[in-house]
Amino acid sequence: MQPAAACVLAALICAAQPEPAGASFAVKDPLQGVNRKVHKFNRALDKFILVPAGKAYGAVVPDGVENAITRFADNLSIPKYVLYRALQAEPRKAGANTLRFAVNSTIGILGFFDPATGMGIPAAKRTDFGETLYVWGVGEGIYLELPVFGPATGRSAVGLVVGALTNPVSFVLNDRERTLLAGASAGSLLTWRNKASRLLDPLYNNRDSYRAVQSAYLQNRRHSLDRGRKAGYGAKKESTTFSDTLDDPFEEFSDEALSN
Amino acid sequence: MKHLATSALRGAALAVALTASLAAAPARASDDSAAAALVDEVFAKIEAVAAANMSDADIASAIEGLFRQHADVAILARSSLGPDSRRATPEQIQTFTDAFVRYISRKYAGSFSSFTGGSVEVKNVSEVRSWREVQSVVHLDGSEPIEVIFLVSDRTGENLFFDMIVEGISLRRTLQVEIVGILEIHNGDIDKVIAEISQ
Repeated sequence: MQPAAACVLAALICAAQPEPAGASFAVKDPLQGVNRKVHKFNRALDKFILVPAGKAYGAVVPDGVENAITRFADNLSIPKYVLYRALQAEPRKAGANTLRFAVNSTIGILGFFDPATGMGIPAAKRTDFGETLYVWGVGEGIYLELPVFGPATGRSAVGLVVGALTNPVSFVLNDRERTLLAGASAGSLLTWRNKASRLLDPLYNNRDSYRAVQSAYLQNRRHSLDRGRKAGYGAKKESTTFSDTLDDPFEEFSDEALSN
Repeated sequence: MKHLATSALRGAALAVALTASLAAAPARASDDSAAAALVDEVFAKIEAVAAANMSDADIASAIEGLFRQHADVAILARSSLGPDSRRATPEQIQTFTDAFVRYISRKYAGSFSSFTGGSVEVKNVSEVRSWREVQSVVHLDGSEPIEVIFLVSDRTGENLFFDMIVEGISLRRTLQVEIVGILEIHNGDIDKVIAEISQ
């Protein structure tokens, strides 16, 4: 795609201004028709490929090896976290993650082990280029369900593309190593799917699983972005309670409210 | 010796300060700890259920008991119906609430049963509007710490939780999306919603 066309597309799916804060939980879903078709496809992919493959993988690979593969894949995600934290003006998190990567890549033998946690270096919190765009003040955009990748917002989808093109690790690996890493990432995904099974059931065993996934994804995504800061460069959030984002159920639904 | 005297003095000063602050806000402090105690109790019960190695049906009935005892089921059920709860008859509300509790207990039985080998830390209690927000962190084996927030109200005279927010996902909001969706499918017919969730 031409860079100019990519810019226009990005502008279309991301609103330029940040969403107003408040108790309302708005969802912009103008592509619902397409999204629902993709959702059907993703459910089938999950049911017929991901779940059985996850079960087979879990049965064949010993737990210790599974966990080591997950640690290896996780460790190689850290360089991109460091890059994004730097772009988000979070030097402390970038520093801690760098230290963690250095320790686990060396003493932890390429990341298969995790001596860093024992040394008191906190686990690297996931981040992505979508979060970086959020910090820069880019609006959330519309809701999307992407094939294979699942639920997303316009902003996180742009982040996904930019992230795939700019992963620092992929620049230093040769083809064979890149294939190995892709394999390890796939393994770690299957491990995750196995563990997540009982947590995803309530979403999927739903009269409208599209809406259930959408609601859970947006609630979680907005919360993880909002936690500790609000949109804007390094601006700190004034309040730390979750209740501020909620309506008051007693004003609307208590006996007293209903008898009025 | 001098060091000892200084720390004894400090200790005394601290005790005075503590007593003063407790005296200034006796209700607040005890309500905060009561809200935190409720969360500890709920977690302890979930853990006991998860560890007991029961069938899904037994887990569901244990979770149902937990909801009925410790949750503000009336407000959860009504707010799940959304604005339409205003035109429901008292009988409909009663029947719906009952079906609703059994429905969510079945629905989340599996999720609660994966809560094994965890430890819970209550981090903070804050007063917001008419309720208390209890922020806690759950550490489960082999996964990142999970942030769980309980919203606790004593409007009924005892502490009950009316929302549980796991990593930003609110139980009340999630159930509202789901039940309002079912209500739309049935063109706003509350009896049909009751029939569907009772299956």
